[in-house]
Amino acid sequence: MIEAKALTKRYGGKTAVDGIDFQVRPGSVTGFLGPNGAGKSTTMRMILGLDLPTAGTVTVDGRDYRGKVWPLHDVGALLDARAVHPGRSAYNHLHSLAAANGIGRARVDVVLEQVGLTSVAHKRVGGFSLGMAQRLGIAGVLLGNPGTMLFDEPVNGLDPDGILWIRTLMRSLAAEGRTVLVSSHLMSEMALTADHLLVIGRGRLLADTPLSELIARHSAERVEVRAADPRRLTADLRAVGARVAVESDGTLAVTGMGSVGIGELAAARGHVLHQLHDVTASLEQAYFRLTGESVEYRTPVSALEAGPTSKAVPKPEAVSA
Amino acid sequence: MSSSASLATLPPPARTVSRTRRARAVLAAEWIKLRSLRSLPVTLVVAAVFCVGLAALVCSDYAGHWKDVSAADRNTFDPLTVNFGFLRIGVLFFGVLGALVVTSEYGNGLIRTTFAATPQRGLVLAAKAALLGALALPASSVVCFAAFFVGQGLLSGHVPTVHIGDPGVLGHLLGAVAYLTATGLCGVFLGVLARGTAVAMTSVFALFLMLPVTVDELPHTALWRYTVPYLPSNLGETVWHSHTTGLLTAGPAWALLVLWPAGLGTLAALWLRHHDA
Repeated sequence: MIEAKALTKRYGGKTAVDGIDFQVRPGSVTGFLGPNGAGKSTTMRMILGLDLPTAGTVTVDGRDYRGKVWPLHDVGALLDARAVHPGRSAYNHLHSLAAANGIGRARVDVVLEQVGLTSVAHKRVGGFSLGMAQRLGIAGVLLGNPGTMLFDEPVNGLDPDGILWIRTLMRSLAAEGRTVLVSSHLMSEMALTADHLLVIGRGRLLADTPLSELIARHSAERVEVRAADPRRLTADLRAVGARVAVESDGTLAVTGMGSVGIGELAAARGHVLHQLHDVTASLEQAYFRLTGESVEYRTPVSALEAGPTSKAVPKPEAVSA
Repeated sequence: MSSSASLATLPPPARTVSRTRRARAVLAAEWIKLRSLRSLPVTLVVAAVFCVGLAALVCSDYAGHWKDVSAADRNTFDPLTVNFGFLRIGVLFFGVLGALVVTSEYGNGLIRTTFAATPQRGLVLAAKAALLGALALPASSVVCFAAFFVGQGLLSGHVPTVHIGDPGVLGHLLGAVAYLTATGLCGVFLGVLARGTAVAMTSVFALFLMLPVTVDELPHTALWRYTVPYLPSNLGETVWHSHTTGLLTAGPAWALLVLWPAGLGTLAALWLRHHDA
């Protein structure tokens, strides 16, 4: 369990983390989500006692990290996969970490095996790919078999295989009852990995919510219907209070009535339906809505819309009622 | 995933542990890091070759050209000073060596992993300094004694020489060893304060090479008297050199030579305690 109370970090005049309160509970993956520069890494460094809070406190299992005698038995963290000396072997890197916390050599072999680096254990880390370096970092997290684990942007720069591997690993670690906090700036990644979300922007906590709730809140915004006789269906739907917009290709965009209700109404009135499906707002959109104001260095909206993200935004000109 | 199974195989972490047990663990960790750093033995070998080589070069040059040396220069000729001139430059190797022990962790961010594993930062610093000392002491002994025997061997038969049994000679030899070791320790602590290899090297060069030359240009007023003799390079000069006017005597110089790394070490420990990693 990680607990932050009024946690604040200021660098000179700049506030990186602005009095946030949160709890990260065991048994689930908690996603720490926010744009770059939102304060995720600073918060993680404060959890690990690396940066000192300007105000407030943060504890792991009720204790200040700096007060822990053998911290790797309680907390494992992957902050930066490239934070290794390139001339050292993977084995020696882990061996020194293990020795610092009274962990035996046998455990080093176990975690190397676990992350699949046994065959390159005695190779210089400088020659590792980013994926291998991430695996080495994760071996360091597992070393003390801790109950709390922190991962800072673990999937950055990984290939799909590596992403899937880390995602599965984090979920299974949480399933074993551990506290897992993973930061990311990618909502899509969090949607697949996290059970609970802490959304942070400009150092402030914007949301502290189960993922399922976030999905529910933003799901089924409208139902798309294609029918043999769209005009008659539109009239019937409007008669029962639904709002219907007719798109150029004849598809009906229905709001204010669920797909179940539409299907039953259609059956009762003898409509032939070709298509009936829920259109959920993407979590990406939910995320943009939450963090939109808090992105520190933003691109003008026009530039954003020209980019690939605009595909997720519904075409406004199609809606009329 | 076999982590549940391995949960049982790890001994439960002891909440309370003796300070010596904790310190031993940190020392072991730092030793593993030190011996797996390739730049360290390379720097050591280069330093040894450079120092002994330079001593041999200077001594053989004196031996070969003694007949060209003026009578005045012959009168002031000191075989030990000539032999140990390499210390003025060779000391930089030891400062850099000490700095490397720390700065090899700063550039790549490894220092954060180190402090996450051992939040007792003072212990980490003490372990690094102890290991550097344990490495630099025998290394500088080998360098100084080898340079002495090679140098005096080359001088003998042509020019005046000293013997290790002569009064004061062993003291100066040990002074040279202490100077190099103390500089190595200063390098460790400058490495912490500089937080990077480039800045650390510059500080070592500035403190041991440029600053002494610069302030020596000052007129010999109070300003000179209260700065120049206290610079580590000049304290070193006092303890390895036979005689230098204007500098401290051997006793206080030895004490202050110990105080330099102690002072820098205190600063470094305070810095680590109060700053973000």
